[in-house]
Amino acid sequence: MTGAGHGPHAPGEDDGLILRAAAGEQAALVRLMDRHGHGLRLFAARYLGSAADAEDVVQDVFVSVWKHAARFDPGKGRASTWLYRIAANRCVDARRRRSFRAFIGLDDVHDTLADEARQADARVGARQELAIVREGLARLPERQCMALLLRAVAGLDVPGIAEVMGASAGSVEQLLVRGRRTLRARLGTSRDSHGEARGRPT
Amino acid sequence: MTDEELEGLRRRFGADISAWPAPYRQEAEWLLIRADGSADGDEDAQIDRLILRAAQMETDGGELARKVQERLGQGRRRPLRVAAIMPAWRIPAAAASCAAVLVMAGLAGYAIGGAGLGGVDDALLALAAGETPLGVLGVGWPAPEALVGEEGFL
Repeated sequence: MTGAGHGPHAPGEDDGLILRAAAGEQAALVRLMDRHGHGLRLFAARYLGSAADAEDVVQDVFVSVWKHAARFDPGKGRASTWLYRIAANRCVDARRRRSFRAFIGLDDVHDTLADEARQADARVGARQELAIVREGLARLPERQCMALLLRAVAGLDVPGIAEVMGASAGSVEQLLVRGRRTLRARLGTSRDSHGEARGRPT
Repeated sequence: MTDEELEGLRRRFGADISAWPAPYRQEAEWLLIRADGSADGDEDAQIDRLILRAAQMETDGGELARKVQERLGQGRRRPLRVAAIMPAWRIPAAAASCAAVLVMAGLAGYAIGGAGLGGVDDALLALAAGETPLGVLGVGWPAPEALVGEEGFL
């Protein structure tokens, strides 16, 4: 699998789109939303545990891209890495705001997306391991969750994730190893318990 | 992802899957790996695939574009902004001046009305002690002896 890399790279379509957006061409921004809107929403929704919050964050990302497109330097990194860095910062801010609102009693801390997904799983009988992964992601430490989502959803490689998260490549590798190990353990526990349940005499 | 969806994405993003945006790229690559019948990658790749599948949900790209364009339009129409009234470097000075004016107004108010506040403090203390504060404030009923002359008058 190829990951969106980091550092010097061949200019891709996204780089050109951001440069055109910097020149005031709104069609280029629309094309950028068409290419990356879906991925950014999946990333934000799973990190924040709320589709509505994710919607706001992704809108903010593209408004910010429109305003600051001139700051993008294709020589420093890929356009996708830049987009996900803006999204990651907005997500961290949104999570902080939500924690503060919960602290002063204005909001409940509630993973609405997990609830919706749980209901959907029950409705269509989706595989239980996806539900376990969703639960597992929601319970992971924030940085592990972010690193895993940037790897799996955004398709970034380790240097790209490090750039987005403002961390070293070594610490990103640690986050990925720990996060995957925790999810694997959850899946393994669930498989064991199901195996026992199936093997139990009735 | 189905074969029809893959064809739709080819028309949308071009034939070169490696140039597709995430997460379409990973999904297409996994579909092709499955179609080849080759190994499903290492354990890490399997977990990553599960995470991506767990993150999947319906999204409406057209609505996102419409809302973002609406917001950009609102930004252009915004008629009055602080930055338009004064340069950015003056904003901290203006805020500090407003704060100073408020503090000065408070101090002046206390200096002028402060002499009369002792009675209010006494009334509050009297209330706290369970007594009537009216006598303390000097607004109680007149003493009976003060009315004697008036009775005579009536």
